[in-house]
Amino acid sequence: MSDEVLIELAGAEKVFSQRIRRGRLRRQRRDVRAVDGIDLTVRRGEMVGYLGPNGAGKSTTVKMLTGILVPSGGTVRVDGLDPNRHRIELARRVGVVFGQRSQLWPDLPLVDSFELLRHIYAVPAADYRARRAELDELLDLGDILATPVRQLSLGQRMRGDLAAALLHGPELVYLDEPTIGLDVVAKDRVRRFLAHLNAERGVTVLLTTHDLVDVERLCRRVVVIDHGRVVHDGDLAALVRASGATRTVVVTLAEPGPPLDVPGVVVAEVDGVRQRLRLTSEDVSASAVVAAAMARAEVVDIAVEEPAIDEVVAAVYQRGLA
Amino acid sequence: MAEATADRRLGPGRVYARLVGAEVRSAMEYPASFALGVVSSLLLTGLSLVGVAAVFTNVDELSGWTAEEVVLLYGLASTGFYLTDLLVGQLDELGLMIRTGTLDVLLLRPRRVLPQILAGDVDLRSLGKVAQGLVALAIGLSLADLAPSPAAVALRVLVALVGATAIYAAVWIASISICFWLVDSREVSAAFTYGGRDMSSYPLGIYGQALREVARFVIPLAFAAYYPTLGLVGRADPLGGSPALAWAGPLVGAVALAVALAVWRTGLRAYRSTGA
Repeated sequence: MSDEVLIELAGAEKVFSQRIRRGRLRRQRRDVRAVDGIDLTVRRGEMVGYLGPNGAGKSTTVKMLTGILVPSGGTVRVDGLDPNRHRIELARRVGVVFGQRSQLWPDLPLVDSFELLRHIYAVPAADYRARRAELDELLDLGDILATPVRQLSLGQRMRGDLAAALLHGPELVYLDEPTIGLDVVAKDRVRRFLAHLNAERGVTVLLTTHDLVDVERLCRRVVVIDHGRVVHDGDLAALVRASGATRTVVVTLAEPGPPLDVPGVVVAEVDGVRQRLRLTSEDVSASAVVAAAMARAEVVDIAVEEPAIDEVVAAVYQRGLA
Repeated sequence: MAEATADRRLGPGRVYARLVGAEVRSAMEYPASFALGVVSSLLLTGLSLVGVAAVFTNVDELSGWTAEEVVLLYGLASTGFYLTDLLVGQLDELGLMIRTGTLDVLLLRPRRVLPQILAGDVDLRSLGKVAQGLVALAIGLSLADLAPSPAAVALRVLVALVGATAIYAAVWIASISICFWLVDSREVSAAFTYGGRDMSSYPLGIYGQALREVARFVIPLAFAAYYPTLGLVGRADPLGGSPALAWAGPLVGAVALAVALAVWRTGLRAYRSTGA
């Protein structure tokens, strides 16, 4: 990662005007602030997780960054350029994957889509050959190149779409739900590929997702937005702290008993011999809790659980609402 | 520097050719369905010609035009219109592309949007409709009483088809642009495109004055087939137009296209600043 700023949003706004039915013919106009003053700076080489509930403004942000939509207010810059006025110039340097929307030609073999995109992006032949070789290997495309896209499984199609978005060697990639609908093995493959892209190729990645494992595995920095505003911007650990979610000590006793009375915890669940003790704050030491539990009962097993990331984000959304 | 040479080598024309080639290959994935589509669209559009014949079983003349002349007019309009359909008919999907987000995918690529739409999803079954128009044109040319030499006729037909295609394309591009403001406006656009086709398939004289003025001065459909047909059969315009108007199609089409492209650009800008 360098200090060079690649993406800069300053007070970016996008207001949609919607018409709502009010009776047979009457329509009322209503303004929806999809993006309501976002400040965000991404440096070259970063991999940022961009999270938020449905309708929070994630896709709208990406559309403004790609120049598809013009902001209603504030400024949006990608490598110092206004993406709306320099749409075509930036498109040569940016790759985009919309997980739910393929850019491949459905009736043609996958390799034909690559060939067409090569011409659309005017990729020189030597660069194209080199990148194809690398992508074919990393994404294991060999067996599916000759298959019409329509016949590919979702995981195969996603690998095809990822390769398609990278054929022109973009320095910046926007990924919108790249693992949606994939099985565990396919998700893992896509994640390893993205990690490689960022670490080895220095590609800057803005990753929009609902799958928090994606974020856990890939992104040191997490930006959470809700109602068009940034409600958190920092590393994952800070997000966990900010949410107030804490770790849980799970103890397994020799025999069932009443909830343990240990300072600094709340007994969240008693299930036979197993008790879940949730720490009341990050300052409580797990080892002190374990020691206290062992002093009160015969403990045969212990485990410490990190807070579930989706609970963490849910907690941040809740606070964002307040 | 390297990028500049690459751009020249892979100019828009070649990219267009490759994209259309891809559509041809896509269609050929299902050859039987493709053949059936061509034949059925040929027969279905041919029904319009049956309509012309039906009119003339009841009347001998249509505002002074004989059946042969009307078939010729229909042939010119129909061939021109379906050539346009082949080139720009993909635009009918614009509303759908906006709703499903396909338009956004095109905006992510380093190319202009309109050529990408025109190069995508070409409906090759329109070839059947063009064939139908050519059949009508051939019938009209062989039956009608044409003035000068075959070479002059061929030149007039060629100029007429270029003009008609440009004019219909302009109407298509301008009217489909309404989708940028009102997504579900396909029927409104169809009133201009397909309505324009039907209107220009009959002599201008059968319409009321308001419609005649529109076709001559606003949406210049009269230059697509009406004036060229008058020129072919060597008849003076009953509405008082100069015989030179028979040659004006390409020029009128070029102006109309320029206006239509301006409307398109305005629409696309509106879409990008309001979203959908």
